[in-house]
Amino acid sequence: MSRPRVRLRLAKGEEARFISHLDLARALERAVRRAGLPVALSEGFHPMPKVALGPPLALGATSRAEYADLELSQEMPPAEVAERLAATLPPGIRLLAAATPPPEAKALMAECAAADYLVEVVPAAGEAAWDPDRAVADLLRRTEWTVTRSGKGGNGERRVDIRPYLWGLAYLGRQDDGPQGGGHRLAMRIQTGSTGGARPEEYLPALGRFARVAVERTEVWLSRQGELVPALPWERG
Amino acid sequence: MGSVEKLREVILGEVLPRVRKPARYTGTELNAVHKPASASLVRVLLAFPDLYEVGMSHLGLKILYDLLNQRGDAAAERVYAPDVDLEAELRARDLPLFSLESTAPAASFDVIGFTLQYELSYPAILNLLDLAGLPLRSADRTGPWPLVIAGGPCAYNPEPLAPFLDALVLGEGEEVLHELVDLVKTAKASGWGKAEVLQRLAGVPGVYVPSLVEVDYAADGTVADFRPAPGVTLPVRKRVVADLDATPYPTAFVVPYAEVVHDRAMVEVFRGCTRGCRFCQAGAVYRPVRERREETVRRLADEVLARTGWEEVSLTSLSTGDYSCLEPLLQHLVRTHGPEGVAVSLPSLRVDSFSVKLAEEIQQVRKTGLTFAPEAGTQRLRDVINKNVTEEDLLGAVAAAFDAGWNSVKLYFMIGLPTETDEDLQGIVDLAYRVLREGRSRRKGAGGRVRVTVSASSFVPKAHTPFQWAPQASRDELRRRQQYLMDRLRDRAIDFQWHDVELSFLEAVLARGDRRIADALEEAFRRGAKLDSWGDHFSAARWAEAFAAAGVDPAWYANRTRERDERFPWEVVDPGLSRRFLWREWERAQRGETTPDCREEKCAACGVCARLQVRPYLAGGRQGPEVQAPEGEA
Repeated sequence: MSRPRVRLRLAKGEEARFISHLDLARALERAVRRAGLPVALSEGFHPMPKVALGPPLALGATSRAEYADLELSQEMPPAEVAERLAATLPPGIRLLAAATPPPEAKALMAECAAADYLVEVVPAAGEAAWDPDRAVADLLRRTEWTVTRSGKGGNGERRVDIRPYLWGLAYLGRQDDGPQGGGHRLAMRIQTGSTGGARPEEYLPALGRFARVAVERTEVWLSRQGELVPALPWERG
Repeated sequence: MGSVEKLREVILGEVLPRVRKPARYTGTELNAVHKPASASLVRVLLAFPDLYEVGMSHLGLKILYDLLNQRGDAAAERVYAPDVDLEAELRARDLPLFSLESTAPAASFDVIGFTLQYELSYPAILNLLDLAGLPLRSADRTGPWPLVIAGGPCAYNPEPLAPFLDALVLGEGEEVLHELVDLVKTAKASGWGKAEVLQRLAGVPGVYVPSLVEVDYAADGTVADFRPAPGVTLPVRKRVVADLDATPYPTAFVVPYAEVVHDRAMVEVFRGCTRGCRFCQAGAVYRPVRERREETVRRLADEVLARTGWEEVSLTSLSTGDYSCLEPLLQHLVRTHGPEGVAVSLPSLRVDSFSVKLAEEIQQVRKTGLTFAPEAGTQRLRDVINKNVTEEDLLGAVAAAFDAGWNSVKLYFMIGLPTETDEDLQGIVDLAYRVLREGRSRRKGAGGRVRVTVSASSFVPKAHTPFQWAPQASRDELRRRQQYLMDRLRDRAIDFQWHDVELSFLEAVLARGDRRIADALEEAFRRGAKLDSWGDHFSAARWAEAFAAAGVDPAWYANRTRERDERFPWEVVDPGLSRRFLWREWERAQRGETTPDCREEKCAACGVCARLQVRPYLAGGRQGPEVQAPEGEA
């Protein structure tokens, strides 16, 4: 008999965009403890609340699609979990939704398949003639986009073709009221998970030279029985 | 866009994305206090001259941060030494050091307050001032703001930093802090110049203004006299809070996002320690012992955990094993907070089997093993340093640890202690092997390999201790003693750790240095010394050049035996200990005579209680012996 789970959708705002995945996990565990939620604890000398996060987000990016599963030690309606947790989350982290995942749902990391990003770029000085539509079309036409990644611990380099991981790319137009006004907005869907993936920044050199880049994750997609589903059912209204 | 907003945008938009662990610099942690800018606020920047990971683990600044921010008319922010990559970015873009909370330039604050936790952080202080765009020397900062002040244990020898700091605060900050803020407020409203501000500051009890004191040196290089400016009284005596239990304690600690060294809730259970180890400066300058009541500690622990969500609460003090109500307190905390997944921890263990039993009850971490500090290898030398621990205590403690399931223990020793001979070094070796044998016989068949870690640091004589007269052993001699141990601690199950002799030597120079050291300090900074407390950034050659350029012989400060009546540069400040007491202790040390803890048997007449009008306070109603006035004082 598995214990009750609640899936949380969180936003990572400006104040929290420089915190790492591990930092987020710790911050969430502590918020859960402050909220006094009936969360299941791991075994061992240092029992930790059972909080499992979705795919990591790169440092510096904001997000409105950070997911986490809480394993509870007793039943509690998601609405109550949400209410109590919303009051104890640290600055920059907001709760957007909480729901019980469907019974067939596996762990987030076991199912995650892709993520959507909103990328805002400001062309570098001397790039006034940059044509976003053309840049997007050029990248989509490529059959290969190989990047160099450094291995764990900074030693060793690998060359990886990440073009297959780019599932979708669209130019959304120019934004004047964004956090860094005047930027061009791009939407990207990129594969993520155990079978390979990439970060939005890795594609940017194929699109142009930019003075500033702001990345926001907007959704995480799961693969369940061959279908792509959002990590939480869409909220309506 | 104002310049502060512009700085903020550049830091957040361009600089932080390029540095490692940027979460150390955003100031957006839980419970960080952001007050809206207002000209009527006294703005204080609390500066820790080391990396965020270290500074965020420190209790003192958390207390001051909370006290200041509780005031409606003051705002405290934080800054730590930037890591090398952030410093490079700031210097390349000509950007100033900025506060974490509001990303404001450090130089825009009314007060910058440094904490002085260890001597090797002094270059980092100069680096922070430089990054702030401020002249290093007080005399070159002509306006009163920001006032650059400092406090903490190293303030008990303020002299090496004298030319750089406008003022130092001696002792506990809880009361004097408010007097300082009030003074700054009046000064700003009245438009006082720097000279007037400094003169008034010198009138606040516990505040030392180095520029208002001239030091004369004798032909032999020692201090001949202190000449205070009119209206300045010397020595400047430390401040203490008489009733710790009634003293405010923060519970809404700033909870770091990024990993820090001690990432846990802290509840201070007492201040001071009267065990009287003769090498220990903290034990000397934080007297007397004042405990919090058990119910106060319980309440504070509840509150801190509720407001931070930390998974560990540590009961802090100089020697938590001595807390009067430790056992019931631990049981209560484990019972109340254990089910929430909160661990209770003790920062250090007393060397006895009772302490091991307590550690077992709270399930102190097993991976890292238990740490004990016998400090010296023979009973003779332990008597010299007044470390009230016998070999029987130690063997009892490690036996209890092995029986309780620990596979590894760590033993802390010092080498270079006064009167140490090779016999004492051999004592360390013998003790290590005895502990190893004990472990092997008690862990037989239990699985896991028994490990004994032996850590030997080099003794650094400190101001205001009985060993302030003692020379530090020469660097060559310390290296020889390290080698002696290295040659004999060869078993694969023994892990021998030692400290860089050059770092200990520099620490010794700074710990008992005078004002003339300041030139060498500045010289070392100009030559690139910054984060010297991190061994990999330290260069002994750079310091040797700096001392030579400043015309200072460092060995004269570190390796010289002082005369009984020599005036010491640090006697410009006074932690309350009588000099006669310290000298008597130094003589007793050389005769190998111990002095009992004053809470148990008899007042040792150290002078602190009589002079500072305080009394030791033990929780649970235990009364200590009657306080004696120091010799020669009624």
